[in-house]
Amino acid sequence: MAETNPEARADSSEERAAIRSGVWDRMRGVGRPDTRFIYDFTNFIPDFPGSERFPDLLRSLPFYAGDGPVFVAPDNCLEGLRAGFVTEGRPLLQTIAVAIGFHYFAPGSVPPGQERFAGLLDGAMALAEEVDLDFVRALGRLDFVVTGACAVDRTTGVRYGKGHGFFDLEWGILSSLGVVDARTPVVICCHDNQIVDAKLAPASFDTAGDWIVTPTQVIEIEERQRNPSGIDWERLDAHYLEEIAPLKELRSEAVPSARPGSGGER
Amino acid sequence: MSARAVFDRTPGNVPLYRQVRRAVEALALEASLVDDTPLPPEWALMERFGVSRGTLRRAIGELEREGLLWRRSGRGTFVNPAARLRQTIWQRLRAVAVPDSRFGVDFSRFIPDFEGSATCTERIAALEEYRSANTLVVMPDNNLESLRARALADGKRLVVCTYAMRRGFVVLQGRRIKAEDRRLAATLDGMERFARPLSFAKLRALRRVDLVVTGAAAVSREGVHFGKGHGYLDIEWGLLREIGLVGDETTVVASVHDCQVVEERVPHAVYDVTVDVIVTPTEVTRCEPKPKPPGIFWDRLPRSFAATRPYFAELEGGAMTGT
Repeated sequence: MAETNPEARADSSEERAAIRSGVWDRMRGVGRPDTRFIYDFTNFIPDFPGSERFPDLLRSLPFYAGDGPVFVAPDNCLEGLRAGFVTEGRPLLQTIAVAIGFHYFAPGSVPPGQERFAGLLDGAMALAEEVDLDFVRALGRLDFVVTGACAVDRTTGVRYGKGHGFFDLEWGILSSLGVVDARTPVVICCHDNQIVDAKLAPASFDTAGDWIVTPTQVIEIEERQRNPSGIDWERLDAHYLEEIAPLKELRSEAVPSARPGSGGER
Repeated sequence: MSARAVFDRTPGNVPLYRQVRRAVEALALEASLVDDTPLPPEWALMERFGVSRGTLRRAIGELEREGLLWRRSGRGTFVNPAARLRQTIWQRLRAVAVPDSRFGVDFSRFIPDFEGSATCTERIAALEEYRSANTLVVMPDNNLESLRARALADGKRLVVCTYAMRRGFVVLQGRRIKAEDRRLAATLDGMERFARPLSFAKLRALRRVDLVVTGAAAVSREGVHFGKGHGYLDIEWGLLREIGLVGDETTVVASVHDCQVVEERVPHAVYDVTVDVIVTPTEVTRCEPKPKPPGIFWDRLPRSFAATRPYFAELEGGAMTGT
């Protein structure tokens, strides 16, 4: 994406790393451990005290009402939110490990009493339905999207994730499938310590939210920075195309030569 | 040598060096499990794949860093037999394994659940050693989820080591967990909410462990156990032994898929935990009893091991042996 303003230079990877590192320092002692990654925040978005308020806070947002499908990222701070959507019977699309593709909770598909379990990633593995890209496409336009973050800019809604680019990929795939676009509300749920004062200077692949929700505040972003559409295949990390199943699937739809067995030696 | 390979060089598709890596990996896994022949020399591989030295070296470099290959200066590039064994098994497992909620199908990071694991649980529950057990040590392996849930339902006391032994041992009391919570409590995420941490003092106070159940990457028919490669079972066993909770007579059960059982004789060392019973979805095998490691082999611990596990400080303080 060409920059019209020569001053609007994206943060370098060193600057991003410094911003992330500052946030993770502030989250030490606040973020809850992950069962596999413990306190290594470079590998997961942690849960924290106050996240139990997210379901109520989201209900107060103007676009919330409705029974259409929503996408929620697999971040730990969104466990309660995902359980809440399952309880409410809201069709829930999510990823678990992004490599294994999309998963879906149809309304009423979780046995009563198992909703809290469904909100956990291990629970989602056991209870959610694995779905392919055709299924996601057939869902039609999502009502809204919710994600966590590492750092968020309170003025522009620009978010940095862990550094793996997974939400950017999820958004890229969903927009390629036509189920999200510039009109789709994007909510970033995070801790107050994760809102940074410094201005985040996004690159072409970074995504931004319309709303920032923390346990203590709800911030509406006046003019959300335009989110990218689709996947920039040439920039993609070398391993991702092999390791991330929905990317592989999307690529083979776009480029028949990328289909397995059609040229490479195994 | 087979026909010259053809790779896809379309920009934006899988990079060339990654395709070459896959081809070299396939070559490395072709030979029988105990073969000691090196890979073809660099020039032959360049010719075979039609790629530059740089691309080939990049591919081989990755496989070296991951431990599948190693280079003997002047003698060639060799395949690490333990890594070859694991990779071969992992390829077979892909067809029957359940992905992990964080690691997907990267089996180097976790022991997967698989089709038929519920049948393994039934078989274990029928063992006399299980029926009479009060306290079980069960590894946090994904294929043991249904066993953990079953043990809770049977009112057993479960001692589980946290993932990668990072936060020590925890205990789950079957009698204290409601029926509708058992499935949840048996998962790693659910365990966070239901299990209680166990200090070494509390562990020692348990007096004895009646049964140890583990998953594996692979197990030989004679009971040699292969984990992900970090040696966690050996270290956990060593800890439990030094505390006095287990001994040679403690039964160790391995629960695996049939494709994870290796028929070849595989050497084992004094520090390897050996398995007494192998349970698969189709059969139960009792192995010849063998001596088990007498304790922790301290010089085999990775240097960073204690540093990344704060609870290990209790060991240094003599808490393990109660001195």
